[in-house]
Amino acid sequence: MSGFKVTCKIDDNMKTRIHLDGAMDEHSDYSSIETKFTDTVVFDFDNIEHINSTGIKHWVHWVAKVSESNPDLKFYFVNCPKPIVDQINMVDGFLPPNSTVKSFKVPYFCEVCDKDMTCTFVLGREYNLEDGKVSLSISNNRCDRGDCEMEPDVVEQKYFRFLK
Amino acid sequence: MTLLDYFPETFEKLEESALKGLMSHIEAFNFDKEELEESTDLTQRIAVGDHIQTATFLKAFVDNKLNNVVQTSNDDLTYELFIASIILKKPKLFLNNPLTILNSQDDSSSAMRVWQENFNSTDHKEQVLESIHKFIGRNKSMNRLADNILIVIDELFSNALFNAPVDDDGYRIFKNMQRNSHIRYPGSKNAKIFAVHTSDDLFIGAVDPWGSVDRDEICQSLYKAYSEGKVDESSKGAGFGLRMMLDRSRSIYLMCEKGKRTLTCCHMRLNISLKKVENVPKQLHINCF
Repeated sequence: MSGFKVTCKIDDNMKTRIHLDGAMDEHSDYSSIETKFTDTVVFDFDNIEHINSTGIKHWVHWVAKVSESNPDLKFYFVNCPKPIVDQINMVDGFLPPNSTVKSFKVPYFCEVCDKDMTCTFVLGREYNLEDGKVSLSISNNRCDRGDCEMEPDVVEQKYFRFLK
Repeated sequence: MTLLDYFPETFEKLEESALKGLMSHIEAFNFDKEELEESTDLTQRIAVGDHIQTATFLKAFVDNKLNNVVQTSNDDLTYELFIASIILKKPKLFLNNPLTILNSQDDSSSAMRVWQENFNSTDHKEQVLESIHKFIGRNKSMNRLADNILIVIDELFSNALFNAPVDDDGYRIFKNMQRNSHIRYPGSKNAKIFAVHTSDDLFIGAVDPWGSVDRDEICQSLYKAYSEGKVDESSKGAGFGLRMMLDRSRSIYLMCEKGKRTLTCCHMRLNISLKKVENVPKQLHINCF
């Protein structure tokens, strides 16, 4: 498992983009992040491999501090893997105020073929948020064989709860 | 009422033995059939019920000193009642032979694979994580649960190092240390972390040489972790980490022989989807003696 790494840059849309890599654990240190942000900060969790309870605490404390000192800041969460979605659903404050989850990953599983894969759900494609209402379209995916399908391998009421 | 009163058909199938005698006389509490009052003492009872919510039974762990909960909706009721009975009435027997007892439902004991590492310092974490990665290897049923396994190993490791060590007065030596600090057990003590899997089951656990679990404190903080979902600076105990373990397991066994050793063990079922892992109602067994 790789150690924690964080990189910060201004992306093509002139937003602060923060890439988080490796394990969010007791060594996850956000002090290197420049505290002057554009009006929106994008957190990219694509390369997060693992998160433990200490990593959750570090994240919640840091993001709360950033949010408190920049109350108008917007946060976009992108490419959230299952361990991150689980924390968003479970831990108060993991997702700070003014946050939007722009994309997240959903594990799929075919019980017949015993095969799994991961799909990325993207805002505006698999789900929409309008006037505080969520519309979500969960589709099954074709498996290798013609007579079976891959289904989302999550408890839907629990996993998609953060959208509501 | 006893377990026998509640489950006569289950007991009818069991062969006569000392264990059957022991199990059948244990008092039970049925969440589905009995009203729970705050003053009810459940210390010596095994609670049963169909899909009892985790926060519901944890409240009974706090208010009524409940120590064992078995979900009747699970597919292995007899086995779970057997384990709960041993933990309640023969804790030392369980603590001395946890894997033999936990694997007693599986006939294919020869196919058991065992992984084990000793540790006494934060320096060993990388080695432990690398080693469990190798153990998971290409085993498909464990690979699907790899994230869950790593979280459980990580939490067990941290708890054994930061929460378990106490001095002669019972003061937790490292509890207030930053979790990124470098620490080592005093003296020559070692903890052990292990994983054992058969074709359908995986047990992951740790044994520390301190025996310092405060039963009431741990039940309180676990209940708080489920009922509030908040983490703050003060939450340095094992509650939140224990919640992360219970969320990923079907059962947790927590046994503490005061001043000597503590065993924390998670049971996961293999060859099932992540959805089923999440949906399974949780079971918790604690005995601190």
